[in-house]
Amino acid sequence: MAFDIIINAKNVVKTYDMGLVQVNALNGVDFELKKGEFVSIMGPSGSGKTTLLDVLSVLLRPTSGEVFIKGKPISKMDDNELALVRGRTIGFIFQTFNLINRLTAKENVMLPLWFQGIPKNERDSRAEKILSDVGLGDRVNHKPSELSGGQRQRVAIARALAVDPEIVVADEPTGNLDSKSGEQIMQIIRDLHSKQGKTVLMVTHEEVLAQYAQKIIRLKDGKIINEEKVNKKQKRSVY
Amino acid sequence: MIDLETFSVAFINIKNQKLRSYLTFLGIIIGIAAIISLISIVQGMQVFITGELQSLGLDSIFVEPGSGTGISTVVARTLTSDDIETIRGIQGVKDATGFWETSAILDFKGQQAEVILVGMEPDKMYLLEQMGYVDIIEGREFTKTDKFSIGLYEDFAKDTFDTEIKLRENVELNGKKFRVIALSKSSAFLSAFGGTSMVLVTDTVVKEFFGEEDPVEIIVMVDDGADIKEVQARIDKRLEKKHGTKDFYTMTSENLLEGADTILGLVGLIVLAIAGISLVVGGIGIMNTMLMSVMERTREIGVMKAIGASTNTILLLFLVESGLIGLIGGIIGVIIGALMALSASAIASYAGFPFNAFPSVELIAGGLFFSLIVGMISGWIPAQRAAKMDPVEALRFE
Repeated sequence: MAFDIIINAKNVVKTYDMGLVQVNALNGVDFELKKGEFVSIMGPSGSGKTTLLDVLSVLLRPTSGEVFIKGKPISKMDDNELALVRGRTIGFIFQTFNLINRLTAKENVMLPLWFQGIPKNERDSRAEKILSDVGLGDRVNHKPSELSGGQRQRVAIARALAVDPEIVVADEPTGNLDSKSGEQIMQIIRDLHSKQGKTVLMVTHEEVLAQYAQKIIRLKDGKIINEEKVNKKQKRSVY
Repeated sequence: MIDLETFSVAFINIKNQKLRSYLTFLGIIIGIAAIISLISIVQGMQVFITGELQSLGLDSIFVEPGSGTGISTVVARTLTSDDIETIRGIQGVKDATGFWETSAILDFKGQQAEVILVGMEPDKMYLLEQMGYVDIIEGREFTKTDKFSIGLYEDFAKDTFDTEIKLRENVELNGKKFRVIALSKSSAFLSAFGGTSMVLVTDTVVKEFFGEEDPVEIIVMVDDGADIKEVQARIDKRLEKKHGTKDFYTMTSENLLEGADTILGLVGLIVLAIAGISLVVGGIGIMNTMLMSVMERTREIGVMKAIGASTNTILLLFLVESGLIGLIGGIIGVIIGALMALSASAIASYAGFPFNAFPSVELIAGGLFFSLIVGMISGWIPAQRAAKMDPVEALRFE
């Protein structure tokens, strides 16, 4: 397979200049995300897991080392190219949903399609279909403020899926939800992996959520300290 | 990727911050309204004055007493009746006549009014008609046998006294009875300068009863096909030789036109400078609003970048938004400016100075284009700031 490895990080270092001191958020990380994988990133706060997610989802350029997206080094791309590739390849799900409040659910879902230059009527029909796929067919014209937390996260998932990306990146997707909505969201994410074959990269600090993945990566002080396979037989609904 | 959607997103954004956007519009509205109204008025006046001066005839020369520099308050009496004869003899002059002026009290049925008495040579009255000073609507022209005859402007005859002065009625001038033999249509140009209180009589009346021997102005008509500039130069030379000094000056309609153009041009320039300043202030207002808007939407910019908006897309989005603020302000400004210009011309028409001040298509288009450009220039720095934001920092912005 040409792009068996979708994202590949080689000896990635990310240093933040905090005035007097320099903080190494990532301290030489090597990582491969293979097509069709479901990987959880875990670690205590300050371990660099969010920075790793930012770097792997090509939102952030590393201080040194290289990140390849589908074999292409991102250091060779300018910001405009990178935005286009990111928008086409990666769908984001954030802890705080990050919907645009003055746009309706449908308009929010249409936004990434617009950035990819997809014509209006196609954006329209795709957004409606995806929203009904996540169970919000009757909420397309509602604004985020008129939706519950779980519904908002489902709109955000629909937005992430709008461009039919190969990778779904989720940053603490249930962090702002009650347990029932959280479970629904986790089921959707699991289905994205198992039924739609999406590659999923998820940051969480909850052990039980990490168990949804096939592989768990543990970070400490900006380094990967452990990489373990999840025993499928142990998997169960955690809520 | 600029399409209708860019505009509708920008429009939603503007609509979302109503009060702030309205206040921002205000700066542009005032600037554009000032430009549109003032330029329309200046242009309208230009057209009007040009038309009026041209109706005086492009083949006439005015000989005036004095030096011609600045506006003299005391009218020098340096021209003589003899000068008219001299001018008539100059090569290229078709005809010439003068005005003898004085003030008098006009008495009608026991009521009095002060008037400017203008004496003219009765056999040269056709010159005044040709130049549009006089347009007889009732009665007849003066003849050489007229003495106690008077001609009035319509407005004066109607409005000055309790009862309207009619043709063939008698009025008194300084105790002497005169008979109204002619009523003339009021000339817009003259009435603008208070000319309707002018009363026409023969030159003999002014000379004999008021002792004003010398004309206050001489009007010269040039031969068809003669070069008016050359004739003007000849008059200058001959009269200067005759007087021994240049105590007079000559003017053509063209000279008057140039003078009016210079003054209006200057007025226009000052107006543009003031409007320009208000537009700069309006532009700063837009910049301020956009900077605040970019700050507030930092997180949103981060989200848009994360989900695939390129630097150029964000730049365009904010530029269109600020351009749209400028344009909307411009549209309202053009409407208000046009209304202001129209009411100014309505008031002026009522005062007997009818000029058309509706803004030209070019002016409207220019105003709209300018407001759009001001908006986009003002939005440039904020849009750059938005476009260059680091997506990760913007996403985590609280």
